[in-house]
Amino acid sequence: MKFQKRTIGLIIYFVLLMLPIYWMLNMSLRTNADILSAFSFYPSAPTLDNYIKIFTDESWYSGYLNSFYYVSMNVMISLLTALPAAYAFSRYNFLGDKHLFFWLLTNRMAPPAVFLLPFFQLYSTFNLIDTHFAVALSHCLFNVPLAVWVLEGFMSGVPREIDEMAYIDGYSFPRFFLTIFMPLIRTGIGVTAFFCFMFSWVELLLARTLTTTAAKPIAAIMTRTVSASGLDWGLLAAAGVLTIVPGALVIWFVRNHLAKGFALGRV
Amino acid sequence: MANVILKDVVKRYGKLEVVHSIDLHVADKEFVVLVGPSGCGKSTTLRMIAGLEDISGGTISIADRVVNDLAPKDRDAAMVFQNYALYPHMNVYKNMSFGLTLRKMPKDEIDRRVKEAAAILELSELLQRKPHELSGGQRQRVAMGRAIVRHPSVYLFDEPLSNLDAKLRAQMRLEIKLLHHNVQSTIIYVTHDQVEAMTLADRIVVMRDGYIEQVGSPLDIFQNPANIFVAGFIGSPPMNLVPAVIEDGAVGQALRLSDSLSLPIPSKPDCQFKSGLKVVMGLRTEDLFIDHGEDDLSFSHCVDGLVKVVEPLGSETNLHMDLQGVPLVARCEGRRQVTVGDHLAMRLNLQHLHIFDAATEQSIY
Repeated sequence: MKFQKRTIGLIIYFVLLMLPIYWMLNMSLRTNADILSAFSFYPSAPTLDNYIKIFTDESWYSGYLNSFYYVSMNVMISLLTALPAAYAFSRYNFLGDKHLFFWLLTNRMAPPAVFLLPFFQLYSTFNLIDTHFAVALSHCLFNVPLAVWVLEGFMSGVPREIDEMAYIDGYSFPRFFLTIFMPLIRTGIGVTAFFCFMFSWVELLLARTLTTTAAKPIAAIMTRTVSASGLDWGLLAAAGVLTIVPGALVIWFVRNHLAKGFALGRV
Repeated sequence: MANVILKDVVKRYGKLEVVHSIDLHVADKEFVVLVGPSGCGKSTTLRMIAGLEDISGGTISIADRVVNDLAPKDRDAAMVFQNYALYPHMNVYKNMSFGLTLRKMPKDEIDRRVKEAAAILELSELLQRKPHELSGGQRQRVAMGRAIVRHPSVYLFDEPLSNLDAKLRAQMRLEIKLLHHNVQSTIIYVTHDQVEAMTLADRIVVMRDGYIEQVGSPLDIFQNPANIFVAGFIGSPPMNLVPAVIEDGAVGQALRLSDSLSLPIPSKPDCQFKSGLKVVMGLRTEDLFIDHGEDDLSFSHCVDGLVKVVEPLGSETNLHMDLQGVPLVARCEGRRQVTVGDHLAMRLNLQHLHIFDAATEQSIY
């Protein structure tokens, strides 16, 4: 009965994996008094008050909007810079191309905290502190190298003869890139966008340091729930649930191509 | 007049020269095949004609117009690639018509040309399909259709049949030959397969290491190879090539192949070799056969041989023989029963003997 054993094992694993998330969902549907008074596996008197507060109080929902702004800005910047770079790496030979390509990846090896201080000084010099652009730009440090790597893998999967055929057919380079090449690597572009989104969405340290009020990300706002009267558990849980949702949605869209993306397109 | 003329064409990658000063004149409506082993520069030459590679030196002209600095699209040449290079996200119709759309051709004219090409290539039923829904042979036809619709003055084929299985390859070979007959255009075709070269070409260009070794009609190259390389490359199974030494005999000169085997050289006017000259003897497998008693050849020689390996091909059989210590491949009729270890009387048709200088590798007889 090997099959059953495996099934049981998987169920235990799954329960352990989902328990914290369920618990957060559970808490988000209860009032603070309820949470603190009784230990319960399900909300006895479910309420949406916590969610309503987040969606009506600007100081709360602006956090989500800010996060969305800089994340989408970052995805755009990353793709716009990584697409030409990846094309060059995949199609041309130039001096030091292999070293440069590897060096790109080493950018991801340094912890973000290392860049915190220089970034803060540079951005304040250019009056960029507390703008969405500042956060989007700082996240490029990690996302552009990754995007180049993933896209290069997908681009190298397209035979070079396609490019040559297009030149013989009479395409200009921009037109070839937009109408022939991009459709051929659209999976790669989707997966890259997903990776950029994910990293930018969960990154807290840089986002929090480079912002004060106007571009404050949701994760930073969540820390506001700590007050003299204690923690606002229910509200915090609701905000947490809402933070998971966008990521889950994006994963849903690229679920069929994720494995290839994790292999950097080299499958 | 869509002739293609290559004059002193050189290709260098950095310091490495891969094509050395090639001269080639392809006449209008001619089918020329560039053939040679991989890395001989044949594809590079074709890609220079297409405009996909820069020309490091010399000039290439198409239809009496120097194209060195023209973009690929302005050379009026269409190319067919080995891996088809179809646009996977477009259907057959779009794949074939896209090049024309870019040239701002009127819609009804495009439609007419695509339908016409589809009819020639029997693709009319498949116009709405995507490339991944087609078989290898159909994809290759689409790739050819894409070239045909442009009505180019020159077709360039880069090993178009190498990705197909043997049966399909034979069929497509025939279709390419028919295509040439139908479109009446200049075709330059690159292959490493000498069978394709022999069957398709009006003229074959044999290349090696960036040099042209010989240019000529298929039969001319087959019968009069200019050097050892061409002799060994063209023809299947390849020509027997055996080192030998010239010696003066009682009647004329002879080739000493081994201690016990010496073959008389049929005398030709103005053909006298230095005694002791090291040479390579070439003899086609069909010129070495089992002696059937009657000798109607004007100049032949009979030798006893031992059968080492038998390779039946159906209509004929290749016999790998030991002829008095000299390994040679003979050919016999497929119905003839031969087993390994047989001792046979073999006849050599010395009328078609080839002799190459061992030092220069050039044909000297």
